[in-house]
Amino acid sequence: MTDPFDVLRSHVRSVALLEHPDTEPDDLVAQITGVADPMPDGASVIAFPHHRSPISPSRGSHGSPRRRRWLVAAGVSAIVVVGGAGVAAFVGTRPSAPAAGVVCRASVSNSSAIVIEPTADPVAACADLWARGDLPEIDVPKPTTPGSPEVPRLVACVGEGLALQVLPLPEYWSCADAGLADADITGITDDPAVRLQAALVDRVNAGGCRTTADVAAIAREVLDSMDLATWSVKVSDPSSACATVALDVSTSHVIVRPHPSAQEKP
Amino acid sequence: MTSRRADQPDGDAHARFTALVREHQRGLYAHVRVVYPHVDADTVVNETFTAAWQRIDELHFDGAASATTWLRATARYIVQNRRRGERRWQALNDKVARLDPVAYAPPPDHDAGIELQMVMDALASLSTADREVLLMTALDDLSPEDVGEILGVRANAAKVRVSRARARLRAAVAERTEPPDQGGSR
Repeated sequence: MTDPFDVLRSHVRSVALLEHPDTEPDDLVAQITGVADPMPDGASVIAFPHHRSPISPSRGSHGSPRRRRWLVAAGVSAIVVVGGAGVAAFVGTRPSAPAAGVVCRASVSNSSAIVIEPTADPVAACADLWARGDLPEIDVPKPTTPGSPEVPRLVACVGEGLALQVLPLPEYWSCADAGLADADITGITDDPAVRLQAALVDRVNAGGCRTTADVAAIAREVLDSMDLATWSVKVSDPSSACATVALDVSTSHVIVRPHPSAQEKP
Repeated sequence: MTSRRADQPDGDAHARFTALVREHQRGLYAHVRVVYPHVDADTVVNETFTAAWQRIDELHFDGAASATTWLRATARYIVQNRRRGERRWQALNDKVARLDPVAYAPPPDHDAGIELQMVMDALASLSTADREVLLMTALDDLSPEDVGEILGVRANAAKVRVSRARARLRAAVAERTEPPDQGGSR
């Protein structure tokens, strides 16, 4: 008989040839570093799509906070919106307030997280996900035994990307102990930029690949409907087949730019 | 530890990191998928490269081999940490479910299929440590130094560990090939 190790070697190498990561190398780089291709004006987009949903679509959202699925790299401020061809994300910085939705994180170090709509009580909303068993391990089957999972002590912090992060922290830990800033969540749902982002994500993410003209029209429509007269739409590349949007809160621009995956195509 | 701000990219560091990911992502994914079939390989690869990015200024690899071993050692550390924190994985720890020979690599013929199934059964009967070292050396042509670096032991110790694991695999297969009535039972 053949040496069992040779049989094993032949087999695992065959297995390896058939296996591919979900994420393309350059997308993984962008996701981890938070740096995509530079914007024309020198700003950088801190967002990227191309993530598989870590939650089965069959798991209903009835009774739970309205949410989108995100996967954030541990210790990295890059925020990834999962969904269709379009994403909205904040560009630039604003010094103190959380400004990019709410992320319920599984732990300080865990890479898994769920994003929810901005809400008046983000801690309670994330606690609800914990109570439902959606956290901390969002990519493994839920236990079939009855009883609510234990909800840990949750604290709202602000990460470098200015996203509000609600995460479990040990007793006596503050956000600073986790390398984050304390969050002032007062009035988060009243922040026009937060509402604008939520509206854009809803509209742009709702469809598949949208042209630059379509996305720009949607953005103008959203601005009009929200009566945000100080904001305007800026198109970075009119010829793009698939477009996405980003918010530059420092200049009050909704930037319509080529979708990253479209840029990779010849 | 050096912590890198996403909004303050360093061009050279970013370029080096991009090259690292492009060269090693696929191999690292295969390694994690094969050696640690009970974990989500994409997540572990993501966390491994995240760790690399956070330390990119300190990482100066002397050739592809050192990058390979550093990434595999880091992935192993991450897997072990996840394993400690996630007890529910324990139930899956003794399974090599993802290595289903039929599902992933159909054997060339019936006899080969039986032989492969036997080897996989024998592998599943071994300890976690034996399986780990067998799978990683079966997948990649790793030197004893490489294995030692990944496992955190000396090269000699790694060499012995591989040798003994292979011997135990052979013995486990042999047990399955011997006729059940052999040994003077009648």
